[in-house]
Amino acid sequence: MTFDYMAIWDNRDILIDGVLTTLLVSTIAIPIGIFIGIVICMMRISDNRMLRWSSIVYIEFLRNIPFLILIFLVFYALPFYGLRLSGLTTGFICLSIYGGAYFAEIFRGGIQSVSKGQFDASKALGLKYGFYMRRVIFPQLYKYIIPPGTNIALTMIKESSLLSMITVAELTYAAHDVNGRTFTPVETFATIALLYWLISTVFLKLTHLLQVKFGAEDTQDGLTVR
Amino acid sequence: MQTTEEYNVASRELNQEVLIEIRNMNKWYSDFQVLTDINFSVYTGERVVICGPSGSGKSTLIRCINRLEEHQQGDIVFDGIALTDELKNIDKIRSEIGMCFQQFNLFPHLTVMENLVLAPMSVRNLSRAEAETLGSHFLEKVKIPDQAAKYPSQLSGGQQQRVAIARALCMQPRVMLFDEPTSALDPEMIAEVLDTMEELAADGMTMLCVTHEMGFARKVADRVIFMDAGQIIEENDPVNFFDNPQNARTQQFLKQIFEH
Repeated sequence: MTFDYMAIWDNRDILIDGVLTTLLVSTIAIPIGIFIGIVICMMRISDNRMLRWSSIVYIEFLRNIPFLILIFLVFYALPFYGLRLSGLTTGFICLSIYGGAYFAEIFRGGIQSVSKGQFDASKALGLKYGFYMRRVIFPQLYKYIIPPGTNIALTMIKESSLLSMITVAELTYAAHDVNGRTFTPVETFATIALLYWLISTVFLKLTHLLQVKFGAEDTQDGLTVR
Repeated sequence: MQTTEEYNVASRELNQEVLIEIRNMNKWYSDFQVLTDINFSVYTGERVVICGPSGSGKSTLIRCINRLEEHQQGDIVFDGIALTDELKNIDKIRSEIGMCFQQFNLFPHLTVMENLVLAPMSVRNLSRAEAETLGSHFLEKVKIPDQAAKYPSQLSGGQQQRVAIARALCMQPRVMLFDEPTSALDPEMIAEVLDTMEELAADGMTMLCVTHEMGFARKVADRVIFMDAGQIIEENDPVNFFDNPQNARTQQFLKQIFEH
């Protein structure tokens, strides 16, 4: 069997559009997911029972259903209640709220890793809640949350491939398209595997830099938390 | 160790202005009662040492005074302000009460100077220049003026605790609470922290200290409070407290401490 490079090359525009759509969905959904994660996490650790319970319901629901079912629910079920969203909009929303649930738990874990004494000292000095969270607690979180946060972000990039099921023309959808035209499954899917790997690797490099900036030491064997 | 005359309660007139008043205070952790019928007052300028076996509720008691712990019954009044759920009161009270912890609790991601200026700038609305002047002044006072640019992890335990004292002083508090400030320190560093605390006392600071340092209590305290099982068992001036304890549990506690 020969590797048909031309099948890929001839359809490069479709694949490039696919990569761009994957990047677009991810680069919008990841920051929104982080923002949702912060909000849900603050609710999760708040003293207000209502806020706490609604955040638990949110997290438990989204973590315990398959992502594919979430997008089907939004894309196919919501129209019955009069809410019809495009595939791309569904993609943004689902990926963001899905990632948000995981980010929330990561942030909560991070906050719990910061010693209780840091909260005591902040309160004893008379600092206000919002102020000490921002200036004392959050800056100490980065080293705890960047590694698991990176994992979730990578998972989000890869899960975005499921959006191909609801007509979003991202990379996996593009591959199906190319394969449909050329019937070269080996070439096509090997290529997009490589492209996903490339996207993930670049992303990992970026978070690696972030991690070094926030106090991990760059050593030969990778990163060590100081 | 003998009582130093200049610190002795007998030799100085205490102000009769009540700064902290605790009345019939009770506190539970779910079903377990940690503090029972606590009644005492601290006068302006007074130095009170609280001692007792571990688990007796000493730390919990002083943590209630600036609301790091909530009490369920009774009143805590600081300078006429009742400590309730009212956030405004809690903020006000906390900004007037300085506290030092066993584990120092410096902010590890900030330099010493940043640790010092954070609260004065945020709570007191001082400019950075004003706050840094204040910070330098108190670093000088705790005898580490040249460490301002360092991070807490670069300092010894004794130095860290002195920075923590300076950080609290930068808020110019009306009273200082100490929660076992020397318990996490190596023996050779305990002295430098106790010296700093003694100087603070000599400057007239009102102090409430939970500590096992009986030498410090004898030398500096106006009054020693002994707690056991969540209750105040005995309360006396240091001379009578150490030389003539009344309660059997106090006697036993002191015997155990001084046996070594």
